[in-house]
Formats: sequence, structure tokens, C-alpha cells
Amino acid sequence: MRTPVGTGRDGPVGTQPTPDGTGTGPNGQGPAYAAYQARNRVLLRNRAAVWAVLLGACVWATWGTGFGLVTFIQGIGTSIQFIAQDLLPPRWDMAPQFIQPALDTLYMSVVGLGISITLSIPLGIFAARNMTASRIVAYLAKMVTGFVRAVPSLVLAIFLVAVFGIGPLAGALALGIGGVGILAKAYGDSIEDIDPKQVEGVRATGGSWLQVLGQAVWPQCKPSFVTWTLYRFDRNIRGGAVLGLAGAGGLGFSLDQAIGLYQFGTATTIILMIYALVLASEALTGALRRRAI
Amino acid sequence: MNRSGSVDLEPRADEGADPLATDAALRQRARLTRTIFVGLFLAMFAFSMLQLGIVPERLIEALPRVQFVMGIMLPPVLDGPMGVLAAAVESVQVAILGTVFGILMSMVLGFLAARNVTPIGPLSWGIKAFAGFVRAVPALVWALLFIMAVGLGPIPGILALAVNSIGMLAKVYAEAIEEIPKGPIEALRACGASRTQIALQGVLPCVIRPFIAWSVFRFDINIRYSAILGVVGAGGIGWELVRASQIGRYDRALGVTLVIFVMVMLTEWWSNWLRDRVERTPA
Repeated sequence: MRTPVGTGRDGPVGTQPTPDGTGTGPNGQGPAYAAYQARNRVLLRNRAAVWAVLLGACVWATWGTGFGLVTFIQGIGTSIQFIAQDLLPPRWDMAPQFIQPALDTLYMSVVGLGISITLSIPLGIFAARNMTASRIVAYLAKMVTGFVRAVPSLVLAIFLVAVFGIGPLAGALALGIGGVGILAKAYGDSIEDIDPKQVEGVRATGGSWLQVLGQAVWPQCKPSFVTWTLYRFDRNIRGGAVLGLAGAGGLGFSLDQAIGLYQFGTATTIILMIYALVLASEALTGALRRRAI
Repeated sequence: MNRSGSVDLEPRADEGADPLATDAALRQRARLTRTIFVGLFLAMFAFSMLQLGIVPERLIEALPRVQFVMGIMLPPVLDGPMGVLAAAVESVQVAILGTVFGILMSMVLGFLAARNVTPIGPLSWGIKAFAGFVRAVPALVWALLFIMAVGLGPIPGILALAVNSIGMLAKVYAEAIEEIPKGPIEALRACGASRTQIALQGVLPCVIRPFIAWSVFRFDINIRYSAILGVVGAGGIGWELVRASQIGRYDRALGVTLVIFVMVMLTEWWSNWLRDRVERTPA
């Protein structure tokens, strides 16, 4: 593979090797050329390490799963055949039956988003180094969000289904808690990134902690707050559509049932409804984002 | 919470009433819009709660159940540690292969979809529409379809991750290629370089950095997906989780969750190392 080094970051043009390969530049640029060579060696070593690790990982994974290029092409072929024969055409007459599950998915996303925002704002503020009560609090808040982020929503859903039973309530809670991992980190990061002068200004006029938050912090991080919140809503719609596979209601639950009964035409209808729901939510959040920023 | 409080308004008061009035009116309107949006969201939130039947009584009713499940869940147990570890390893392998095949396919599709280098114009539009569809259908749904097509095991999982990755990577690769400067391409073309030579010598060096950044990012996403692919039967550690929760052994399920947690953390650390190595350029 060609290196990306040659894209104008290498310093003066004269540091190129001479055509005859003697090494020293034509205008006596020996030290520069030596530095260039040393730099290239380090780059090469880094790149070799990366490629070796990547290649090793691929070989290891191929050996472990018995999956190779042939399996890949075969699998894609079989799948296209399956889609053409069994999944198509979709059974549109079943669509009205799934409007309620689709609405459930939407409701789950909204409730989940509300829960995430409510939990993430205090967590985000406490996690931000410049607004937190103390270093230990910030560390703890970061640890909590990191832990939540590393556990997929579906795993949360499995436990919540055990507690609240099958249904959209567990899904809404799973989305709500899962969202904290992303939103609290995003809020905290955007608060850390603000310009401290504005905070100092408000503080100098005798503003309380809450006034600093409202007059100095919020105006600065509002755009990223809006962007991340809307992004999370998009994720919730997608996530909500699959949480049903763990029994948490919504379109995923219907999809699971349809596939369990080998009603593939119906399954295609549900998948297309998920697609439509995702597109609709993307259009909505896109419009809101443009308005808000 | 106002954009800038009354503090900076006072000094300007004697500059003339007109700009101030419009300023205040604008601010009033902005505040009104914001109130409407927040109000709408709150109304929607309350309406959704009612529709889902989330009322305080249900939450209170669930409390004894919480206690019951917590009682089983703690302390976490690792049942057959070797089996769980093997499943975790399989999940990582599924994520690696899914990402690698996704990257390979997306590279080709990305080149074909970028408007400035594509050999056939309409193809660009078609690939972008396809990627949009593939991206909008969640990875788990793809996994379900591939299980139907090729049976249980890690193979449908890899296929699902590869296909789902294409949805995202083909789009961002194409966008990265569309943003490159025209100069190097024209220079190569003027030298008589072939299409492949232009792709390898002109385009690739410009986009390799965003390519790597996005690919590593996608790997982080895929690791999280591969941990749960097993829930629908596509191999890996998710299957252990479902099996434990189906028989009500939530202590085992929690043990598996902790393994998932460690797995995600370790791979994230690994991908950070890779990213570091790639980005490190001595001055």
C-alpha cells in the first residue's frame, strides 16, 4: 500500500532522495535528509506493526470461525436467493396490523429519550472537569457512564424484561438507561470544551453556580446538546425496533413472531416498516437540527 | 435560561430604541419557539408514557419483582468459564471478520459511489440508495435474515455485520473521496495514468486517514453488535446470555454481562492502540 506521507507534510522539497540513490541532497541537505530517513523508518515500523497485528487478527479469526472468502461469497449468494424466493413479495395486507407496534416503538423511543436526558444532564455536569463538585465526583460520574456505554441496550433489555415482564415498558427503560452512556459523555465533553472566559465573566458579576450554568455554560453547549440529543433519538428508533427481539415490545417483537412462524412475506413488511420509521425519524431530527442551530 | 442576560443589554439602552426593540422582539420570538418545542416534547413524553401504560402503580408493583431478580442476580456466577470465554472469543472473531469484509466491500463500493471518480454516473446514485437502505435496517434484523438463509452459527453473524458496515462505510468513504482536491487527480490523468493508477496513487493517499478513522470507529460499533448477535442465534457470547436468562439464572446472565463488558473494554483499548500507531507522525 502507498503511504500517505507524501501529501505535503514532509517539509522542504529538497529533502527528496536523489535519483542516483547516493542519499545526500544536491544542495548539501544531508542532515535534513537524514531526519527524513529516520522519520520514514519510524513511520515504516509503526505501519508494519499495525499491518502485522491486523493480518494476525484476520488469520486468527478466519481460523477460529472457519469463515473465508469462499464462505462469504457463498453466503451472500444463498442469501440473495433466499431474499428473492422467500422474502419477496412483501405482504402489504398485513401492514395495518403492525401500525400499533410501530407506534409502540415510537413511544418507547420518546420515553427512553426523556429518561436519558433527565439522567444525563446531572451526570454530564458532574463529569465535566470545569463544573463538577470535586475530582472524585467527576471520576465516579465518568466511570458510571463508561460502564453503561459498554453494556449494549439489548443486554439491559434482557434483565429489564425479567423484572418488568414482556412489553414495551422494559424496552423504554432499556433505551433510557442505555442512552445515558452516550448522552452523559457527550454533555460532559461539550461542557468541558466551553470557553472558560464566559464562565469567569458571569462568576465575576457574582453569579451563583446555577446562574453560571444558565448564563455561561448552556449558551455555549446548546448546539452540541441539541445535536447529540437528536442523534440519540435516531439511535433509539433503530434500537427500539430491535429490542423487541429480546421480548421488549415494538416492531422487533412482531418481527420475531413472524419469522418464528415462517411468515417471510409478513417479515418483509415489518422490515420495510422499520425502514420507513427510521427514514421518518431521520427526516424529523434533520429538520429540528437545522432549526435549532 | 437566556442567551445573554440583561447584563449586556443595559449599556446599549441609550444607543437608540429601534435596534434594541427588534433585538428584544427577536429574542422574545426565539424564547417562544423554544417554549413551544420543549412543551411539545414534554406533551409527547407524557402521552407516550400513558400509551405504554407506564403509570406509577406499575412501577411500584414491579418493586418486589426487582428484589426477587436482584436476589438471584447477585452475586454473579461464571458458569463454565471456558465455554463463556470461547464464546467471547468467537464474538471478537465475528466482529473482526465482519469489519474486514465490510471494509473491503465498502472500498470498492465507495470508489464506485463517489461522484468525482465513478466510471458510471447513475451507479453512484444507486449505490448510495442501497447503502442508505442497508444502514437503516438494524444489524440484528440482518442477522435474523442471514440465519434464515444460511443457518445458525457465526457465519450469519459475520455476514450481517459485513452488510451493515457497508451501509455506513460505503457512504462515508464515498463522501471522503468526493472531498479530495482535484489537482492530484488531474495531474495523474495528464501523465496518462490509468483508472487503477489514479485510484491507488491519487485518491487513496488523500483519503487513507479518514478511511482508517471510520474503519476503526466501525470496529468499535461491530464489537458491540457482535456481543448481542447471539441473542437471535448468530453465535458468540450473546447466546450464552440468552440461555442463562431463559432458564431464570440471572446470576449467570450477570456473569456473562461482565464478560461482555470486559470484552468491549479490551477491544476498545486495542483499537485505540491501533489508531494511535497509525496517527503517530514524528515531527
